Amino acid sequence: MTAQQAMDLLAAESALREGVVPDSLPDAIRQVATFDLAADAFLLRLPSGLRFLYRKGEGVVMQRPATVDDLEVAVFLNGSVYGAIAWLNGLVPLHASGVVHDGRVYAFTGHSGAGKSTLTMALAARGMPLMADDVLVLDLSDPAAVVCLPGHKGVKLWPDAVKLTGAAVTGPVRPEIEKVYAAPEAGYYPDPLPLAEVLFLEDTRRTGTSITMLTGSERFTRVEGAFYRPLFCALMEDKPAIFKILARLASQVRFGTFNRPHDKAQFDMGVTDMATYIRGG
Amino acid sequence: MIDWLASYPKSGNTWMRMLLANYFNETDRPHDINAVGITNGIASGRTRFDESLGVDSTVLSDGEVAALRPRAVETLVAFDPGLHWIKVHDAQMTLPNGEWLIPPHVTNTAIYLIRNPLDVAVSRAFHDGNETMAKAVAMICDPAASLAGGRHRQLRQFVGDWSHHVRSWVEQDAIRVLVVRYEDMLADAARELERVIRFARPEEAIDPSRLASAVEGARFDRLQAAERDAGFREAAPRQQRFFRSGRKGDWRNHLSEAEAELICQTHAATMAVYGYSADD
Repeated sequence: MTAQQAMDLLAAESALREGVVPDSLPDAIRQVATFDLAADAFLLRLPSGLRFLYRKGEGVVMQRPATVDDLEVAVFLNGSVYGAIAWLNGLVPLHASGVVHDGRVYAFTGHSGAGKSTLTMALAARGMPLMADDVLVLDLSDPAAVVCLPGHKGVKLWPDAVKLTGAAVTGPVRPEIEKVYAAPEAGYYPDPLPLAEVLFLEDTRRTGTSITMLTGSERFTRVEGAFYRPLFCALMEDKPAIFKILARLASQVRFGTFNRPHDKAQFDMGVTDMATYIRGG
Repeated sequence: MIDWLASYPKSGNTWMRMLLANYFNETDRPHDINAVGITNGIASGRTRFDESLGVDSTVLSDGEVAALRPRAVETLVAFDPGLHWIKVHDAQMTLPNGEWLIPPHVTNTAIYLIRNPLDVAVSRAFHDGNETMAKAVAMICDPAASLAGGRHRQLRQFVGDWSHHVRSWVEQDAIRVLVVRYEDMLADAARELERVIRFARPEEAIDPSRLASAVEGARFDRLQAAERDAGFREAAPRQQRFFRSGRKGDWRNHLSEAEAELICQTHAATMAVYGYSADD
């Protein structure tokens, strides 16, 4: 499969229609309160009553109460459902946001609130187009390179991140939710590109920034933590299969940490340092 | 099953976690303050919630998140059925559907760490670098007080005022609770650590040499030095130092007479139960 075919597959599998969604999957191999996972299907149950059913080769069916609007449907379809579709189709989604420079992708990962989206938006304001926000899907089918697939349009930002980055707001994420969608200044990169580097965001420094590359076994343990929703991966208990993915990533992608102060007053310094680092790449 | 380390913020929870981490540490080195260790995060951690349930909590309302909190705890236990120590700052409460926020059916015990609210207020003000003493005092007297939520790394936690928080844990009868006073930890940390282990892990044979090394490994000046050298992931963004003073009675250096009086009046009944007064 080429990266273009992977993109087309992901788009086709994400095709949405309204219909009847059952309460659960009879063939589930993993069940928690909010989702069921089967070998070829995924069912998401949200508190609002919105439900999605994805079955491989059949696209996505959505059922919603009258109170659920299209914005709510889109935010979960492009997040949890999209990530599950990627896992079920042999792709590897990372919980990361990435920008493009010189034909390669530089991605940032970290816990929710670590500043992935904010940093990528600030880098986009310095001329680096956005590859993906929050869910960065990797295609490993080309043995020569780990390839990133372009993500959805719209970057979810908190209001203070909008202020910090000067990003242009394009609309609300969901009624009664503070986050808004914003557009990256340098636009969205439309084609698949190789992944150069993944940096884990940290913020324990009081002053200055540091970039430290991960080596040895640390790469394996940390990189697993960058997977998007590992519980959506049917293979997660299959240690040899996961090891194979990690070994592949470790051999073709650089992994490191980017540590900068949490203090907003020093945010621009961090962005400048990161932009300089990427350009010096 | 989970052993909860419950407390109003700034009441010695992190110290107890470090003591436990050092006691159960498999090496002889003092526990790294930034390592996960034996104590497994905080109940309100956003990442664990999101990963357990497969949804992005930042696009859920506070009500939706609260309703799912017990489900996230159940998922943690279902996927890792061993024993966990987990910190919690939420007041225990029943949700609109009548179930407990912190679910008793996946709980082993709760250790409730309590500290003189006069010192809690001071520590709270320093915890958030922009907070004045007056604001911190107002918070611990505010029946509607809550923490985090929004863009924070932790989900919103209802704490209420200090007395409410204490009662929410100590006066419920669905979970077995051991109360540990911060001031008693200052007086004899090994004794208090032993009480906690005996209560939560009665099957565990107590090793006095490990108790001693745990206390040594979690000595306040050691924690301060570790934070100075490598930072502390759990420090608040504007906080200069997480491990700041740790002393008893520091409120005398920072609270006005009116501020101290407001705390003592608001919390007189609960303070009396636990032996706290403005004479401390």
